[in-house]
Amino acid sequence: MSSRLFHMDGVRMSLGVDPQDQVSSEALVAVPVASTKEHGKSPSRIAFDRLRKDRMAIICACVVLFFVLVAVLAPLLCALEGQNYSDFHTELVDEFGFPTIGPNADHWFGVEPKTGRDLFAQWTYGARPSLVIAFVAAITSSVVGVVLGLTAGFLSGWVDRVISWVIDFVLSLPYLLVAIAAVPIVVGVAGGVNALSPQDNANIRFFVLIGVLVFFGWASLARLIRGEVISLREREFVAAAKVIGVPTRRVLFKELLPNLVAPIVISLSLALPAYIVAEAGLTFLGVGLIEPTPSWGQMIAKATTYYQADPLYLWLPVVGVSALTLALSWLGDSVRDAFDPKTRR
Amino acid sequence: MFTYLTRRVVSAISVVIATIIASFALFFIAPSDPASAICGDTRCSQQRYEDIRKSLNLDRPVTQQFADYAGGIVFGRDYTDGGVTQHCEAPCLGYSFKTGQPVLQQIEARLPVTLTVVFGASVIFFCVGVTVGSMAARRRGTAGDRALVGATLVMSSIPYYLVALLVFLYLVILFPVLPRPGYFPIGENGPVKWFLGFLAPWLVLGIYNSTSYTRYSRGSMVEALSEDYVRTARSKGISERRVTYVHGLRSSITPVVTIYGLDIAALIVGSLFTERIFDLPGIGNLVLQSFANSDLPMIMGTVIVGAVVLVVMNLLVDIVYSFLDPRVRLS
Amino acid sequence: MIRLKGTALIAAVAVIGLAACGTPSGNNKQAGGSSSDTIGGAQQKATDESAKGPAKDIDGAKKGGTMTVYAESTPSTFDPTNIYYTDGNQIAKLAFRTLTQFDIRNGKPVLVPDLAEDLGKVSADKLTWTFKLKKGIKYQDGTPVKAEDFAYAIKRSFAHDVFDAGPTYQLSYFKDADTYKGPYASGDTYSGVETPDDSTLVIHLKTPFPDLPYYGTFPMFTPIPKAKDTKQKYEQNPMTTGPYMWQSYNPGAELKLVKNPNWDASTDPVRHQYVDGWDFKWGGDAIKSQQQVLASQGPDAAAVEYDNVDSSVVPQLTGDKKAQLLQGDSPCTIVEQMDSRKIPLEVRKAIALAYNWDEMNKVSGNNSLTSAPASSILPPAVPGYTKFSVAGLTGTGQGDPAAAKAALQKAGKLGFQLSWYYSNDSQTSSQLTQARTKFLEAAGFKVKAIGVPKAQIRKYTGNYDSPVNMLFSPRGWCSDWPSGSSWFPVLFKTQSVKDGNSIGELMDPALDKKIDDISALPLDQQAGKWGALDQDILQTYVPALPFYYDKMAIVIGNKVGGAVGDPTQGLPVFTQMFVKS
Repeated sequence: MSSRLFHMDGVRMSLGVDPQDQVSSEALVAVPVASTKEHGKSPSRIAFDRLRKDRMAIICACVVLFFVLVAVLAPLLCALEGQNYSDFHTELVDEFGFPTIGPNADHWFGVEPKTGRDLFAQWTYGARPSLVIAFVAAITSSVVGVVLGLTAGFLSGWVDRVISWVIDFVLSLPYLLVAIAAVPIVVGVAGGVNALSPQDNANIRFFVLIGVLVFFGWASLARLIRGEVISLREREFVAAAKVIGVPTRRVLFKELLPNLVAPIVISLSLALPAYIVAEAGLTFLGVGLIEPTPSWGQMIAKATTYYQADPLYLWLPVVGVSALTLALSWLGDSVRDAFDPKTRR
Repeated sequence: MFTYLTRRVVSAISVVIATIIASFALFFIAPSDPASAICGDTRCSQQRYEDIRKSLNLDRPVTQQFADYAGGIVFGRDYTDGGVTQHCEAPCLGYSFKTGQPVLQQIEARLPVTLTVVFGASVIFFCVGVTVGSMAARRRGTAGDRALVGATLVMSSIPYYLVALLVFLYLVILFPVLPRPGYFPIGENGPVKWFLGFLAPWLVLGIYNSTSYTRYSRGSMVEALSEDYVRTARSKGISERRVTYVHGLRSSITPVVTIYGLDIAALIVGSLFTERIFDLPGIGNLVLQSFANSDLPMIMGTVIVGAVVLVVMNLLVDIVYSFLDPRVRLS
Repeated sequence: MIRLKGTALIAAVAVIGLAACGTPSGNNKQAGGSSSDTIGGAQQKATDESAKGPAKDIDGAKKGGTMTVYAESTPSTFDPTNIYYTDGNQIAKLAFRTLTQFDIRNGKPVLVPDLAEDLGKVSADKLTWTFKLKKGIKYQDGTPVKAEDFAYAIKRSFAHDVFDAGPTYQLSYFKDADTYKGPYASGDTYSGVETPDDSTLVIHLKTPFPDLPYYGTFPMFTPIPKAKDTKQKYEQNPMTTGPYMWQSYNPGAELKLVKNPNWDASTDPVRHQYVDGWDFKWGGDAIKSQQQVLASQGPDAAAVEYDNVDSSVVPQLTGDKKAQLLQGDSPCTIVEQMDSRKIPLEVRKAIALAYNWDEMNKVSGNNSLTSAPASSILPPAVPGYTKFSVAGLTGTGQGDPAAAKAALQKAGKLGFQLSWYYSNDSQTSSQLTQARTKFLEAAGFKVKAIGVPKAQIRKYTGNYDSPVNMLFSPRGWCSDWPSGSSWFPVLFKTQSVKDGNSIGELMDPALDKKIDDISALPLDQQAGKWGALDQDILQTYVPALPFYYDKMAIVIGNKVGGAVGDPTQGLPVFTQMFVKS
């Protein structure tokens, strides 16, 4: 089968599997596994142990944890500083929008151009949408992908054909173009005139963005799972279970699912950085999050006007997005290595 | 083989049709206000604004409008207003709200720029990727190899648009290391200016994407280099370099070619960031400008064209792949 | 790999550290632009019927060279019947001559005859205008311009279904405008225009229209021969009478003009033909183009970028480059509207006290180059503008929420609710709403801001029956021609509310009469009276809070000469520009 890759302008963020990994995942499911622990460690257990010993993985996990803490504790951190992210301080900005102060005791990172909002608050709160959207979208699309992949692979027949066609359709859509066209429209329909304050509007946009990302994301995983299920269901242990009369649901959950843990975890580990990049990218283009939600993507977009005189405004969100993506990517690499040492470089 | 082909073609056509329906549905429920693409906030009296809205007659039933639109794509369409009839050639994607020009015409005018960027960059990423990958494969296990692989990992993990943006802001604007990017048609400006105008986006897009090629070709070259026939070549006394680049490359190149096809397809559609950051008048920038202008026919037209391009390229790649790997056909 | 990551981190910290030295504003080498004198000043005569060609030569002007013009926003049409916007209008002057035209003298507009011999003679009942046309004028292909071509162009403007973006004054003022639908639908016979002989054009009105000579400057009055009318395709290759003609037109992208060999300078009191050709390029990023023009390398030395200069480019306007900033007036005033039907006068005055204009300006991205705080309805560019100051309506200051609260309490209206629509997907609109909400709430108001997509906002703000009481459209106004008569009768009469074009939704018959009285005066006497009415309206009714006047501040290449601003459009006068050697 030809695998489809989830592309974003050259960044090969596969929510499915790279062809180079195809070999590994087939090798992975070569040995079926009973669902009890008495017969030795499960592959997941083995993988987890390997992960724990990998120094790189620990460091990356710590970086991710750092950002998660920053995001979660943002209100606390800002209270410490004594600022919030929405108050304008236009008296600290000159007539062309350039801040008249740098980082000081009141504003630890200085203030934002044009509006004068506190930059530390903007940055710490800006971590939130990126992380929330990435996690929620990754988990949701994984759940949807697994469920539909399982169903298609196991039930076959017309159910399989329909789901396969939908998968093909979703994967054939030009992701960025459709996102640009769809986001404002869906927001308009969902919000309508009942969207009141800027805050409410931003919230609706938030959910629409997650929806759009999930819409495009579930298909690769579904296809992968479907393929795995198809190859698994011909195996003896599944046939045996069916012959004995084990109900379908039990077969799905107790026999098949444990064997799918590896591709699911791998896919999740690839999806997380992909979604962070996707959200920041869409926001950068102006299609994603908007005022007044603080977000790194918006900061980057606005910073292109002021970066020469105010580089901090550009580099803070750039470092944020880069470090987070890097850490998650390498963590994902380590996860894949842990599941299959053959791909270790 | 034939059944496989037909299956794929039918599937491709059905996807295109579904895209057209989906685009139309989006368009129909969109909060569209064509007049605002033309009318501003301080010069347009309410009367003028109403007139413009009426002249674009969007008050006919949905099914009728969709039939008109779909029919227009296949057969072409006649637009009549104020006693004047315009014929829009098939495939008709409507007229832009902003300029009143046919959508397809504007897309066609911009397509060459996008294609140039993508193909030029693809040459770079292919060459750089394979060369660097081979270099790394030859030196596998050494510090040089680890450094190269590490560098590719770092670069591929940072989002593309950040890399492109930073290069643009610092290497083009602040310190003019790279020539100013832009589209300078060969006809008036000569080949040199044309080339230099694309150099920056080619380099950035190319080098950024070479990372996955580097890793992949390194991986397959490592395997190839441990094959028997390579060992034989070495024992015969052929130079290491010749061994790598002639014998090793030959076998590792095939799978890379098919990925190349897939990547190109996606890049054509996804070149938005490159065009936006380097300000090139391609299709990506057209979509963003239309989005800013609320020019819905243009956005719709671009989505449909983008989907068709993607579907066609995927179809071609599938066909090529199926020739190379018979297992695919039979699955 | 660990080493790589570590070094990357250190590098990042170093950059931030370096950046932290020095404040961003201090890193700005250029602070503030030189504010040019933009006060209206003395009223010079607005018309000069005796003006004749050729136009007076400009000092130092040379012939030759090609001028490149960049802009990010694209004019939507170049069909003369369909042009209304300032950019299309200003560029059209290079190619399309009209009945009358503006000559910019000392930075002020003076109405002069262009293809007409005079500024029109009106009959006693004010319903018939007669224009004598110049003889011997030719199109670019050498064919003669006939009176019936002027008549045909006017008829064409009634095909409003086809040319829906063009101006519509003829639909209100010309005879039989309700029944005639243009030459394609209603044929050639139209009672509103007549050509008794080959050099006379007669226009019949249904109601008096004293501003008709001003209207005659619009591109829709350029002659169009019926035989050459290719309808929607006309803008690809139109007939031109100006110093330049079409070479090629790629809609939305590029327009190239070359010299028109059949333009006779001795008949044209306004234009020059110094430059060999024009190359207009649209759609490119404004900041990028401005930086190119400022750098003035190669052909960019003879280039102009007519979007207002961006804040990020301003720091580069130092030393020599200061001379590359062209400033001028613009005929637009932006206001913050209040609905006088729903908000009582005392409350409106309290709102005026609460506004923090400094914040509003900064959040809007206004600076001293691109805007000036407004204290009147008429901008300085329009003759009739008088400098006055009504307390609280000066567009400056940080507002006084405490005083506003006190005033509200005195009126017994504490907690009065203010509501408006804003574009929830536009950054600036959203930020402005946040700013307003803060200081209005601090002043004791309740605020309800309703966000709608930018694509829909006009529908809501244009409907005066919407359940909000502030910020209806129009959010300002731009002069269609330099006279108060294109402002007050349009915006402040009872009729304006029905037309959906009112500022303040005033419906006072006494005010209507004042406006009508001034409109009935001869044009030259109106100017001062409009100025007085301006102050009267603001003081007595407070229908809106003047926010800012638009200004023109654009960058030009260092070889561009003869560049001055046209206050009627807020753009440079292209027809006077030349390329320095």
